[in-house]
Amino acid sequence: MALSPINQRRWQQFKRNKRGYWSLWIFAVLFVFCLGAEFIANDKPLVVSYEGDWHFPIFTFYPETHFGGDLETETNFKDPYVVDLIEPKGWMLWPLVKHSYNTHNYFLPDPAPSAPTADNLLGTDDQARDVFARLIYGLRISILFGLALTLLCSCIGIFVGALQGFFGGKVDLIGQRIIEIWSGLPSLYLLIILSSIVEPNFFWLLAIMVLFSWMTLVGVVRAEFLRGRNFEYVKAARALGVSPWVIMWRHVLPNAMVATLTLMPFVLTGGITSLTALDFLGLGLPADQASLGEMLRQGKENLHAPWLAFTSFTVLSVILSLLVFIGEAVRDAFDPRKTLAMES
Amino acid sequence: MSVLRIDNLSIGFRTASGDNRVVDDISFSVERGETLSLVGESGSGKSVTALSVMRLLGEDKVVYPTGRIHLNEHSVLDASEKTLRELRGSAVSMIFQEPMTSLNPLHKVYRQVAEMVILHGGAKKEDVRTRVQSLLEMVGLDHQRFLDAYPHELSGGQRQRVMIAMALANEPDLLIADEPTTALDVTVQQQVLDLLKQLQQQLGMSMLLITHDLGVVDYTADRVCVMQQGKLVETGTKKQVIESPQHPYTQMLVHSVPSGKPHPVTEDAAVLLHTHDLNMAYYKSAGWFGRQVVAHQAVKNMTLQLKQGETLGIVGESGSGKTTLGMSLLRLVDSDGAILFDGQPVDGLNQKQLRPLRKAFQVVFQDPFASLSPRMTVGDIIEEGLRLHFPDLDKTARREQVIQALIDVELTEDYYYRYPHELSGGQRQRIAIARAVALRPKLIVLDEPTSALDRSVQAQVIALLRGLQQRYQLSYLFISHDLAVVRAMSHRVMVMKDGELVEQGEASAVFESPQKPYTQQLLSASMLN
Repeated sequence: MALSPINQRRWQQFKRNKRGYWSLWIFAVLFVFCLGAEFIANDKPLVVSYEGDWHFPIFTFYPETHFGGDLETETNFKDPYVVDLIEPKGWMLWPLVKHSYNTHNYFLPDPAPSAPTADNLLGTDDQARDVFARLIYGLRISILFGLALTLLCSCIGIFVGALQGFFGGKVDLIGQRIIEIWSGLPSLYLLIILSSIVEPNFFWLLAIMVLFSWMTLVGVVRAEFLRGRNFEYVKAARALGVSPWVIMWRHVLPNAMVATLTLMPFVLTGGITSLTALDFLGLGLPADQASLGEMLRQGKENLHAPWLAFTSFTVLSVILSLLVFIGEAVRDAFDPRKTLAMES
Repeated sequence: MSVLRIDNLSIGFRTASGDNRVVDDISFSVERGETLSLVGESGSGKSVTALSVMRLLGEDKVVYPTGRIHLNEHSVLDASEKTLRELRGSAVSMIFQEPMTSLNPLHKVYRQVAEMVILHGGAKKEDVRTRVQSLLEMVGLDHQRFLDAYPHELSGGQRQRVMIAMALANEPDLLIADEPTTALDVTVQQQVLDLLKQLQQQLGMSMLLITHDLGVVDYTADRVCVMQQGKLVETGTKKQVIESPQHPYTQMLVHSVPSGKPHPVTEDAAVLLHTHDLNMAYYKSAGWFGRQVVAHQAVKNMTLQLKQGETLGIVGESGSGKTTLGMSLLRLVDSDGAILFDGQPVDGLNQKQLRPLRKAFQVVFQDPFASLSPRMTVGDIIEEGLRLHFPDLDKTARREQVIQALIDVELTEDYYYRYPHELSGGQRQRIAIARAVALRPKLIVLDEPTSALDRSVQAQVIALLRGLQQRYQLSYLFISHDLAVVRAMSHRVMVMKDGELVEQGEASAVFESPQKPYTQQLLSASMLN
């Protein structure tokens, strides 16, 4: 894929910000690592070879009877009885960590929450679930939630801000009043009410959060468009006969992007933080789902098990810092003055 | 004995990649009671030199590798901050180019002038008021009217007079005037220069006048120093420098006054643009129900005709409505009255109906720094209109057209991927012209296209515009306050004042035998030779 000369320069500028560049790499590695959570931490083996046939339990359902057991239910590959059934006639390839986020470990040396061991690298929580497994599953859902929230909020926010700023007048006046009223609504109460009606899942939470956080970017984008619509090159484009939508898209938006991009990492970190906060309060994702907030709450409730609080705190602060560093580098990359300074 | 003596001065700015030297080994002196003019184009280092005399450059960014500055036997570069403060205002003061921003908008005139009086004079309170009054009197302002006025109530010329009053409050030995009249209209410019000359004689002070305008030099200076890219290339009396310049750069400056005539219009040229009783007013809402009342009538009953291949110069001072007239003709602002373009009425069309027609009438704006999108490459900027009005061109054909447009404005293909910030003012203005010309329009409204450019670049742009006009039979509506440029460009001229037509006619007739007093005043003030 060939980048256009502009984007090549932006990429060069991005790379010049060493901290942001390395943060991007670390974040990318972490993110890809988390995306493949099922292949890193799972209570099912990656591959089972049984009587010469290969089985992939992560993708397919195998009842215990398939391996010569008694039950019609899904095979529990960690059950010593099942292991004894499979091992003589084949082999099993296990992931790095033999626990999933919702696996209860019945073979703990101490009562749960138990301290880190070779089996449970970061210990277990108060329901005997592996902290490391919960961490990567929780991180994945947090990052995906944050990204989805940022994307949706940016699209709506930029669109509304652009409309208000570019057309001004009545559109602006009415839009601003609606936003003022809308941002006065207490989103937390709505979430509490909602959680008593439906069981909040990922998409419900995303929808509610988008509904109440799309206003973040409107102010900045609106201000940039109000300024931008009077630029001489915007007048020149109007004189060329360019339609208002194209002017907004091609001439004003790129200038509004720097201000927008400066805010975007904060929207992203804000998204991650608010999901964490909701889970911490118990208003978020269902109880058996792994999430950073739920882990923080475990840490708070089990102060005698410091590995719980320590893990979730460290991971949360590292992720948020990485995102802010990346955001700074992105902002530099889109700053034409920095690009100019690079050449001289 | 000289008031100011500069010996072998070099000035540099600290940058990441070493010191960037902007003034290189210059020496000159200003004698008591004389006016020395420092002439040069933008970037020649003349303002930096002047600011160094007062040590007003950011101390952490600037270095003085060589040289000395002597001001009344004080060595400025070695002086302590305390000595400098005493020198500033009492031995040397300065007036700046931009009168709009050099006065504090929140303070009344009295307070701003009084501050200068108190700071150095240590006068008693009741004396201060009389002193301020006499200062305002001296610069020709009625003190009863202006003492308690805020800066926004004053015109540009009046503000510059207040600035002069402040600068002269302590009767300095040297007055540095950095482009004091560049932002002013020509008639006001002449008044301010007259005032400076008169005050200089009255107070016996020296003046260092920084300007790019040789007309101003000719009118005011005794001696001239010419600077080019940080070097002093020529020094001499005004007569020597202007009448027999020695250095090629000075010769170029002296001869770069716009000259020549546009190519004549063909006899049978058709009328391209025709307006009848065009009016444009700014409205404001008044009363309880937002009734619209006229706040300012910018253009009044303008009737004009423009033929194919002809240039109509619109001349006027700021606020005369000439730019608004141009924007009305482009239908970028709403106006009343008939506009016929190429036989088709365009005044009734809405913006959507107008869009396909826009390729036939284009515009070039004054400020080449603001009229190009900083985030688009030159190629994209020129291509935009083509994409819109010639949708059947494929990518390669469009690129060829863009390159043709670049060649038309005497640039090369290499500029295709450049960004506006990498280009000089003249190159940017060429890009803006290329953007308009690429569409093969019939009419281009040129709104002060040369006034942000140096004289030497101006001459090139004028020659370019004339060439393009002949090649493509373009009609120009040339809006400018600069009479020299208008004379070199226009077939016919209209003089506007306060939104109204003062005088119109063939360019030669208007410039050689103006009929109306206002036109005569304008011409005499603009120092055309």
